[in-house]
Amino acid sequence: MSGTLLSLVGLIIFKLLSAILDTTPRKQLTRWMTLTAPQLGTVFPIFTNLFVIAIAYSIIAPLVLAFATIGIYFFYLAFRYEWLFVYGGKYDTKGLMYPRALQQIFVGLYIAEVCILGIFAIGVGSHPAQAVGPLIMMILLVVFTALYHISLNSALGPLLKYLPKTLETEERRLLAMEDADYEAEEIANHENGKGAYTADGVVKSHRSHGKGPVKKPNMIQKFIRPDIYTDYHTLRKLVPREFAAIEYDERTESDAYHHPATVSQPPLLWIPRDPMGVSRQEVHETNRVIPITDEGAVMNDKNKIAWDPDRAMHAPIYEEKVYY
Amino acid sequence: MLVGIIITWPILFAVNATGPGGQKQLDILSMANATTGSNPISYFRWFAHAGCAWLLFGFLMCMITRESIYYINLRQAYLVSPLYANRVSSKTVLFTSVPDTYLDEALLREMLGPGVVRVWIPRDTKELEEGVKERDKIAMKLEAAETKLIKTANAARLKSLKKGGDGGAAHAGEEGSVASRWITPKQRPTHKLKPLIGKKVDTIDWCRDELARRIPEVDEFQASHLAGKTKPVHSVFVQFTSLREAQSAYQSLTHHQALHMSERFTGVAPEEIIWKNLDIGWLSRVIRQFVVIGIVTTLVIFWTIPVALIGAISNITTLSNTYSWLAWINKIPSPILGVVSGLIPTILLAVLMALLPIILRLLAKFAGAATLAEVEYRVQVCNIPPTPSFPFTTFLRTNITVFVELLLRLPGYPGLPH
Repeated sequence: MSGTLLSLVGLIIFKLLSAILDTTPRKQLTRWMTLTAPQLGTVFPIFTNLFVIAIAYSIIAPLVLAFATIGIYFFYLAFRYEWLFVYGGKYDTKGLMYPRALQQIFVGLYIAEVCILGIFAIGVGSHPAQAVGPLIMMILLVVFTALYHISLNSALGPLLKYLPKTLETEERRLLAMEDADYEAEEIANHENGKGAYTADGVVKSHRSHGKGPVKKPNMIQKFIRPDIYTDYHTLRKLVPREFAAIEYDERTESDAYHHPATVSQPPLLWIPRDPMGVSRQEVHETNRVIPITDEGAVMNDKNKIAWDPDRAMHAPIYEEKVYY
Repeated sequence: MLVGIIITWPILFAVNATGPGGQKQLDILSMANATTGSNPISYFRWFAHAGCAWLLFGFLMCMITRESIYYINLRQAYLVSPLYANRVSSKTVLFTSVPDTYLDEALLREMLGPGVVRVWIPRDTKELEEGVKERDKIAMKLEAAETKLIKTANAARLKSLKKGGDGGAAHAGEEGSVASRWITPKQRPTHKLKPLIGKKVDTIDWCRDELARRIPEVDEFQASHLAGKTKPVHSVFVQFTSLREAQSAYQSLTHHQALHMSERFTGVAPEEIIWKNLDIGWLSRVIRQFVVIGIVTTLVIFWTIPVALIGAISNITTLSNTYSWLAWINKIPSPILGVVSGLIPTILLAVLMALLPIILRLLAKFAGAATLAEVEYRVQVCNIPPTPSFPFTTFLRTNITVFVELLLRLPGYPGLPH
């Protein structure tokens, strides 16, 4: 966990390898700009495993739970930091790994139940009177868990995979209402000369559907009834709106799903500028063949390539990330 | 995006913070202690365990339910919000295992209704990919060579500055090149056409010539692909006007025959797609999945063998004491023996454990997963079985002598001590 927080290995690799391997400005920029991405397929199961083992031993040796709690709490802190500030990523599972992990926790439940069942079954051999009752209880529990699992899956499964039409329509309606409210406010403000914009418009639209919570729930209630207190209406406030402009120009959109080789252009080469004019001449000559530029990077006095990391997004080869 | 995962991860851990919910009324806090005693009170002791189990697991199941519902609400709120709903990926559905008759845009438009904005039918791009790869490789080579040239020339200039020469303004040297003022032609970057044996060429000039040839070639090839003159691949991307249309298409049954056009994906961005796997027909897909499941099962079962072997190495001293034919190991000086029995197993084990995800990823790609996300998904699923085998194998390791003896006692093995 401490290794995760400090990313010591990552730091050493960054410094060492960049000194050795990065001979062009492009390589340096890439190393600077690329964020590490966690391999979710391997990271998730590690923690699921921790959970499973903790659950499996929870009745047999409850002390395990204390250690597990402390350990997992620390992992939680470390990973929260990492996710918010450190990780980038190439692909987006849209969170589908999480319900999978929850399913796998069920496996932990089964293992635990079977273990205890086994212990009781052995006990039936030596202390029959003591063990038969609990044994029957455990068998019932296993059956109940299985049934619960199956019905949970069949009820919630489709909700995970598909998006419902109800929410879509709701969203459109709410957005339209918010726009209309905002415009009405604007007009009202202009007419009355008031400068203040009240936040009533948004709240009104939330309440008009009549589904908002009527009293402020305390934390336990909020926790237990997610279908009331963290329903769609409440949660959509959490969703960021102004994160990125989702607009595409005509070319990007029409090229979106072509194979990348079909639409890829020759890369823009980037070489550092040097004070005596060698790079200018190279730029001049190579431009006849392939686009090349020497802005943004220079050879400093120590004969190393220097470019301004703060202006990394203005580098000539920087491409805006398109949120397809 | 990934921000969505951030908000759901803490919940997974918060679940455990309330984990110790069952009460424990055992003396030395473990179940083994509950078997003593035969007085009437201890009769009910095991009921306590069973009761605890009911309580705790019931609580866990409630938590799992609660988490699932919260998660579903959150996910749906995200995916329906304008931030997601306006993205091209949310409005585009990928159909795979499309039969040849349906690789026609007009037919698809008719079938999928008026909500279709655009249809992309990917083409077989193996040759084009190679061409583009070569072109980019040579371009990068050129860039590296140019940078090296500049660096070398600059180094020479700085050296002459230090010696007191002038760092004067650029003027052309003998060959009309500025660089030749500072470095001889021999110092220009060169490379061999074939490693170690080919002709030596000046990198910059060679790259320029090659690129001048290849770039128009690739452009032409790309144009012919875009015009649809090349062989299509059995998948189709269809873009709809809105999220609602895309979801309708995604959720409805597309083809009348089983497994045709049945694997559908939506919300997948172009950079996440594994293009190679788009051409797989339905039969091939099924076969691949079977093969992969078979391989993973065998992998899980037989993973214990290498780990047990490593365990054997770590217990090498015990083994060599028990069996006379291994006695030569005792003659190795003890520091080396220490290294062998301590360090090497750990390293080998780490390598094995690191190898597992790589193998699983390769298998998932082979099985025909169409997106990177799906690869990770499958790896997550398949990673679970092997990892519990790890405690099992630790058990194996510590008792390796017992185990080996058991094995050797199998009938037919001659010459066994006692």
